[in-house]
Amino acid sequence: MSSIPPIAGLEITQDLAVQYRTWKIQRMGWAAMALIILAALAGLFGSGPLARTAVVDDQQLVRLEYNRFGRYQDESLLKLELTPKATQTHRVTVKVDRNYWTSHAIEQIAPEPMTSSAGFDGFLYTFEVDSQNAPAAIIVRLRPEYLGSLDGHIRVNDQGSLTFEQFIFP
Amino acid sequence: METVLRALFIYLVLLLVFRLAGRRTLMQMTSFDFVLLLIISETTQNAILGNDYSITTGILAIVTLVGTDILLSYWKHRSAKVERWLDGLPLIIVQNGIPLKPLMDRARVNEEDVLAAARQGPGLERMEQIKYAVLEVGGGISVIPK
Repeated sequence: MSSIPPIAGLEITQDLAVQYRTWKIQRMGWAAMALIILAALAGLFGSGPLARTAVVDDQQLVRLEYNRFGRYQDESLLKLELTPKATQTHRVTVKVDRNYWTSHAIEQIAPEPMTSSAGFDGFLYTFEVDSQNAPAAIIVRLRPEYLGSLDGHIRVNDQGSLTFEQFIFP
Repeated sequence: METVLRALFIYLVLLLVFRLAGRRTLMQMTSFDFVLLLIISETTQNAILGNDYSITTGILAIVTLVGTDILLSYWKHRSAKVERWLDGLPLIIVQNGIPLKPLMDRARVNEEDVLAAARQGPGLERMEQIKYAVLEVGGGISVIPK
């Protein structure tokens, strides 16, 4: 801005070069904020189309619906959909690895398991199944007590096992 | 430890966001700006304190916030460069009655704002009575009559 004559009489620290750089950085900051909002809408920070996903175990016994991204101490939902293949007997066992389970506060398991026991490598739950050879669902509500990425392992009826990964934002 | 880190992080994020927003954002203190600030403070409160209602956490958060503020003000006082990046610099937007349009556009100030400041301050009626109008660091406009 050379068209502006030098400031006479006014004792002021004006630096147009710095001012223009500030404006440029501000514009970039606005773009970054817009990107953050769009990413959040898409579900990058939990809850959104990008976040919700599902995985099926190798024996096709169970389909797990979970959130790829979550937030610290925010509610996280695991939905286990048992296939008719898993409910052939009236009891279904679900084993969760210890590291995953102890990194969460377990709020609720629905339906309540008949029995639960602690093994050296994980927690074992037994659920009663009303109608055999029919699909059933188990819902777990938990709160992550860790930050970053963590693997979870679930084993159904000691046969079908699956692994899933979650990333928890602070 | 967590409280201190939370407070520190929120302080820096707020500093960054408000600096990026520019001095004309949230600085005009219309009643809506005021409500917006209240909502932001409410949101911030949860992020700093979480579910912890203890006095210890409250005191830790306050001490961290004020301490960081003191530290930064000290740093700004020592270094003009830090001050200009954290607070910005004043900007002359009217010179000898002529509005400097390109600068005003970038700073999101229009002639009405300048005239309003001219009426409120020195009680001027027209643009040509203004010798200088300066957009100050705080977002206000100060007017020097001819």
